[in-house]
Amino acid sequence: MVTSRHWFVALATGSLLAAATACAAPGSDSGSSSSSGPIKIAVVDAQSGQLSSLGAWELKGAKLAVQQVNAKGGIDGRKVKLSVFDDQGDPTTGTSIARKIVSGGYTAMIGTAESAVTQAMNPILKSAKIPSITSGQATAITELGSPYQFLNGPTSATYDNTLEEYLTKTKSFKTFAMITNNGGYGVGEHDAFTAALKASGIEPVVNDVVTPDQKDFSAVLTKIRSKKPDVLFIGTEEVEAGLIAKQARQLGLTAVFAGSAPLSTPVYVQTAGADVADGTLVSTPYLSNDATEASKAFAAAYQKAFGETAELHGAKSYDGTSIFLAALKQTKGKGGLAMADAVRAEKYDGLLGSFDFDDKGVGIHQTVIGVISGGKLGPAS
Amino acid sequence: MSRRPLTRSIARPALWVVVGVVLLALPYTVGPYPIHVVDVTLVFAVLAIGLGMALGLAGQINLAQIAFFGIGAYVLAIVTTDAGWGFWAAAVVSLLASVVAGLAVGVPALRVQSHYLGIVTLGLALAFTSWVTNSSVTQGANGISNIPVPPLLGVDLSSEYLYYYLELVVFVAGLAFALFVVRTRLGRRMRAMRDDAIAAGALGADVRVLRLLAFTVSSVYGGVAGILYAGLIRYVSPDSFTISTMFLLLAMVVIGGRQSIVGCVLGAVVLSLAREWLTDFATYAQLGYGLVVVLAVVFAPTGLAGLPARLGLGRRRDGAERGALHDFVPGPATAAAVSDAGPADLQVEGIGKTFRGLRALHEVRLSVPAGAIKGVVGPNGSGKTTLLNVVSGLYTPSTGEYAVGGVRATALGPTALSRHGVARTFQNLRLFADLTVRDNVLFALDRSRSAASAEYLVWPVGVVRDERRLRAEAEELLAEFGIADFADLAPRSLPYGIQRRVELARAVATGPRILLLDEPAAGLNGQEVAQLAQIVRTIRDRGVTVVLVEHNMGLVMSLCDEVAVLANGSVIADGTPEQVVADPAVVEAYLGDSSQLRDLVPDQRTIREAAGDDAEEVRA
Amino acid sequence: MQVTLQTLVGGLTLGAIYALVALGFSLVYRTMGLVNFAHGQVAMIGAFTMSTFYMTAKLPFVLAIGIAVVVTAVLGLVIERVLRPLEGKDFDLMLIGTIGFGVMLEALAVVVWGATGRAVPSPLHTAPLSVAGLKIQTYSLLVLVVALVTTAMLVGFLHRTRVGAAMQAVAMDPEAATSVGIHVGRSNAIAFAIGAGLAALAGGLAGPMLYVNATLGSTIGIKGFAAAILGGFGNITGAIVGGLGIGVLDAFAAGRFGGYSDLVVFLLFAVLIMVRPTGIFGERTVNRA
Repeated sequence: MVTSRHWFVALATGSLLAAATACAAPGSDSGSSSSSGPIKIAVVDAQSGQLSSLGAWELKGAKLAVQQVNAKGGIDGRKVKLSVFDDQGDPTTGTSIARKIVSGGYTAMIGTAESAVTQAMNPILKSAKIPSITSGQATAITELGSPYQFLNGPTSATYDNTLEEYLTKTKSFKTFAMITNNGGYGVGEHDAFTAALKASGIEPVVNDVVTPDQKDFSAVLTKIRSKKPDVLFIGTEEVEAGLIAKQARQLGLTAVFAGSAPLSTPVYVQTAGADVADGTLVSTPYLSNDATEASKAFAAAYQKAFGETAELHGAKSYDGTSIFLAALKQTKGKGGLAMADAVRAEKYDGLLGSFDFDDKGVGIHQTVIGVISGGKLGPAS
Repeated sequence: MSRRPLTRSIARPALWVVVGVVLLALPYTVGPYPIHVVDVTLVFAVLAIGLGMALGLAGQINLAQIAFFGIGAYVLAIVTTDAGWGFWAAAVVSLLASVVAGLAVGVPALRVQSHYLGIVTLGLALAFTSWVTNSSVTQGANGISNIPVPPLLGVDLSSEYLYYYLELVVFVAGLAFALFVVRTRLGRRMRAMRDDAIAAGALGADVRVLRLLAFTVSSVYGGVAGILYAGLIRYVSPDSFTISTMFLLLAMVVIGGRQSIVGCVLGAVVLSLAREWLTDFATYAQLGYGLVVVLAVVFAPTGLAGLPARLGLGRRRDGAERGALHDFVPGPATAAAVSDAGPADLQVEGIGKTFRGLRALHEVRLSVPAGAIKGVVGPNGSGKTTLLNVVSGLYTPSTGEYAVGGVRATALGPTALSRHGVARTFQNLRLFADLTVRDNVLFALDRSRSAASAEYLVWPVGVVRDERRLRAEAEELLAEFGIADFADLAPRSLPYGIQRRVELARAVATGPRILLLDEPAAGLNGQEVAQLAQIVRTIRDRGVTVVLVEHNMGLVMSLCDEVAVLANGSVIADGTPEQVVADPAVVEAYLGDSSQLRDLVPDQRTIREAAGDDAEEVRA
Repeated sequence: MQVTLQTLVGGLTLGAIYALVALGFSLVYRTMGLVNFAHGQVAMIGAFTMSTFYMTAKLPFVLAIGIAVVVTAVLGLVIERVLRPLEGKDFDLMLIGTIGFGVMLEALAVVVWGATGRAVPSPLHTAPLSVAGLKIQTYSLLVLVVALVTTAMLVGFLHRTRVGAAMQAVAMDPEAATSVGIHVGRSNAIAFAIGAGLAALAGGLAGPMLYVNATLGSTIGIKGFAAAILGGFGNITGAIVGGLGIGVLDAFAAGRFGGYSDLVVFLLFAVLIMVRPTGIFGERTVNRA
């Protein structure tokens, strides 16, 4: 216990100082990007934790795009400098990184792959007028109403509308069952594919939701088996999709598997097993490294730079970064609203198709259908 | 208090002034990124204080703190964005929601403790995550964005610099309240319960109420932190309230020092900053803090807060400074402590107690007149301690009834019995190990109800006044019992004989009408036994009935007015000491050698009585 | 009906894994009163170790699991050794210490094996058995049999061997065990090593059914823990019943409540614990610590 007199002295001194400092409000909220020196661009993705493979691919795509621009002399004579930030898939960490980007004078941001993190960072980036391009595809991102927010790929609606049309029109499948999870990605898939089916007047025979951690799907799969659907739509991340496919075949379910991007990955094929994965129909904006001249060139450069085979996420991030760099060329390195407008004006021919951004920040409005055969993704007939 | 060196009492406020100035001036010296980090850190600091109150102070393993945090943030987000309420009105709602959640999570703590509680609270935290991930109200995995900026008299709180001051005010208030609780009766009770819930219950603390309170307090801090988080980040999603964040929070509290509120804050600050600093090495950071937690529990269980003491810095009083055990000098404090209601009699009618078919007591009949000293003796395993545990409410008897002071007491729990005037000591000493001797006595002197802790919010001045009065009484009582020299020491650092004296003082401090002593002379030397006899006699003379379970026959014979002998769970003799010693049944029970009966030395008790101490089915 | 039975089969299959996890929990708990919150992570390390030797080193599946069991048993010894100073003193601190170990092991797995994880091919290539429309995996049967045989062996070990008997004695009364010359520390270490080995067995067997990554530990750990409690903590046969019970409960909850299944399972679990803290086969005290 301290005597009250000492406390009085302490408090008095403290409040005097408080009064003195209260005269001026502290801090300035923005560190504006400078117009000389390198143009700074941030890559924000999970580089640790469960989503880190995604983050690693995206970083490589972005790096490649920047390397190519720098090799050609940069933008308006200035080099582009890429910095990586690890958001750990945690929204709170994301907000700290957003502040770091703002005060660090970054012109633009590539990322993130996690829609929750992207949404958490959005208010800060919006008020600092920093354009960013995410690889997320959640509808919620397009509804943020920020002119600085872009998507480097299609939304779930685009993926699933294309898929649904192919399945019902080209393949003439009649009955559908759906399994989606309640994670950020799965919810988007659930809503988009259900809506697409509804537009064709089809009600799925089973439309069940699972959790991202679930390991056993006997109950839902047996239920589905008894309805004998033509197609089982799987709207979950890679590993879970693989487990669902594997268990479905083990239970004697014969339906065709269909889904979007995660089902095009090697992780899905390995988890399900190549024989199970064969015949899976996938809606994707990036069919293979051999599809076009552009993708061949990209895949070769990627192989050369990182010693591994390119895939969808690297391509998406490569496209997104390239569009941002092209826009910066237009504005001569100037960021802010000018750059965001330039992105919207840009008609960019990328690996994923022709980008044409609408006011929701979506640039790709179509996908193609692929099929897995022999464990590899190829174009569907 | 007056013995603290002068330099220290000046240094302390000086330190606080420096800290205060630094905290106030901080926003003027840093950029927008550091201030954001500081803002987040303060949220975690508030959260950590809450966890510290449950885990460190009350010993309740609470892995649902992250859910309280989440509920605070989510309810605020829902009520502002969905229902369109103002921020502060919504804050009140979300605080209430957190408290309700706290009470709900606290209910299992009434039944289970330790790791069971850990897994149940962890499960409930996962249930919360499951709810927010699925519900359409919480907008599932997408989370809720566009939470409004809290309005405050025209101050623009969208500036994180100004938001910092709001957080600072809340944090300081929260810290001050936590310290206030820790240093007054509620905190003392919680610590006592943490150290020994059975003893705390038997000495009158309503353990159930305290556990619920611990969770409630914890949830209030969780809710406040959630509100601050929502106002700062203005977006909530299930990803913000994961189990890994819970473990990070746990690491903060353990590394900082769970038993010290300031330590918890320190841990939150250190780990938040470390996490930010190591953000590019997140996996290694995780590896690192896991390692530090392991090292902390093994080598520094008191955490950062306890480091100065462990390193031998600061004051430390040991042997030489300890002082001496003085004679018992009954005075006004002892007299005041003893209940005005006068001595109570004890009537035991046909009590039986079986443990899983093992009969410990059978048809025990015992009458202890008011104001008498009654000895209960018997060979090891005869059921003496079981009998004491029954009449102090720890065991529910299988059959029979007993009454204290003419009131039927069979159905009363230990806490109610304590309030009714039954006090006891324990065969194996159940002092609150991490409380000082003074706090042990203060705990017993404090007869207020835990349920009345609303006074902390309504009229804190009353709490302070009570505390002053209690402290004055405690000083006197410690002096009269001759243990004033040890007031600031932890009981376990003291010799056995002194600990026995402390336990006796603690029992008397509860204001008993009847005092149950379980082998109070065990481990005492001859002189100490003589002092004990004098103390017991004096207490009886002041108006307390005494029941003495004892092996030291010399003490029993010289002290007791009446003696009952137990053998195999039944009373085989009851009468004056002389009558009992002459009883052939008694002689037979003691292996047919009456001389052994007289010579029984206290320290021979090595094997525990059947179902003696610590047994199951103890009523909390 | 078919859905119900097939759900039951699926639940029992995963339940067998939970049961093996619960066995390790219970063995350690009954011997030294410690709840090892890192147990799931030890299982995860076992699964990764198995996958390395099975997939990378191309060793036979059984041998790969054997190596994993040995590796994690050593890991168990390390954990026990580090936490030994707290034994019999502060159980809450030990519990927090094991949580620290769990966090560490998870990060370690990411450092060593990466965050992506790996799919382990099944060692059995036979077609599923078909019984009245029910599909039963031969591998599931194998796991179930292993779980039952392991339980029987463990019970036999505890009752019929000297070391086992010594461990039983320590479990009942450490002081008395010491007084008759049993080395309590060694007995605890053996229990911990066996417990960790059982975790590796569970993790290794789970590998081909699930997907091996760093979070595998927390997923099967918490369910295994719940299984151990449900069966009556410290009770060996209870662990197997609890494991199968949690597996079935989980499977039906997933079928009935979809995304909300976790909410239902954990709320139900909390209620069960409150109604009957000693579990189904609880015999000893509620709170040994």
